[in-house]
Amino acid sequence: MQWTDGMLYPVLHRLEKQDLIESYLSTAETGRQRKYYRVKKSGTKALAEHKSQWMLVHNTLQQLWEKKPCLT
Amino acid sequence: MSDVEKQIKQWRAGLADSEAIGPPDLEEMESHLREEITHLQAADLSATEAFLIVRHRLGDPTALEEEFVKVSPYRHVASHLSWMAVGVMVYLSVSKLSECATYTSAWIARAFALPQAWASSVWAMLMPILAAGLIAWLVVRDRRRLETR
Repeated sequence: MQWTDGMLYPVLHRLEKQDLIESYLSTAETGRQRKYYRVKKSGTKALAEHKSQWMLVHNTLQQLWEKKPCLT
Repeated sequence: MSDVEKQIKQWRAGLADSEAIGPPDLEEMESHLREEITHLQAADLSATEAFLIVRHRLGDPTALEEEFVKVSPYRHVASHLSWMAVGVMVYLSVSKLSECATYTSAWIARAFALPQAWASSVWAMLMPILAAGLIAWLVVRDRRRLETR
């Protein structure tokens, strides 16, 4: 799949639905209304949890790669 | 209206055809498009060149639609269901209408002493013509929509 800039918005909307980020409208310097997003506390917490889960997977795999295969 | 304004309008209309992409989503992406166009214009690109680049970077409408469907899949289903309901209602009203038309033509046939077969044959001929017209109209409309994409 080719990642494009427009695909960012559905992801942001999904995170907002999951209550991990919040959005607010503000007028940009161009005069147009612009939607800004910021991470909520629950979002930072969820990120830390995901990170620790990935670290667990990473460390487990790291230990497996280091093991020398026993061929006898 | 300048060429770029027309192109932006056309681009937005192409995306608006999708049930998964709502007006706030369109507004957000148009904002992104316009701001990026301004950035590229500052780097000495013409408005049309900038538009073409940013449109490409935002992505193909079909691929974008697929991503938006993942966020709100029920919006898509709800829209399909409402169209199905409209279809059923149209079918019911057309069948009632054709019943009325048959009675009316039977009445005309009796009033003007025309053969009874006239009443049914007129509607037997008219209905396929009406259906063919409706299908042709739908095809032409869909082609126009695809061209704007």
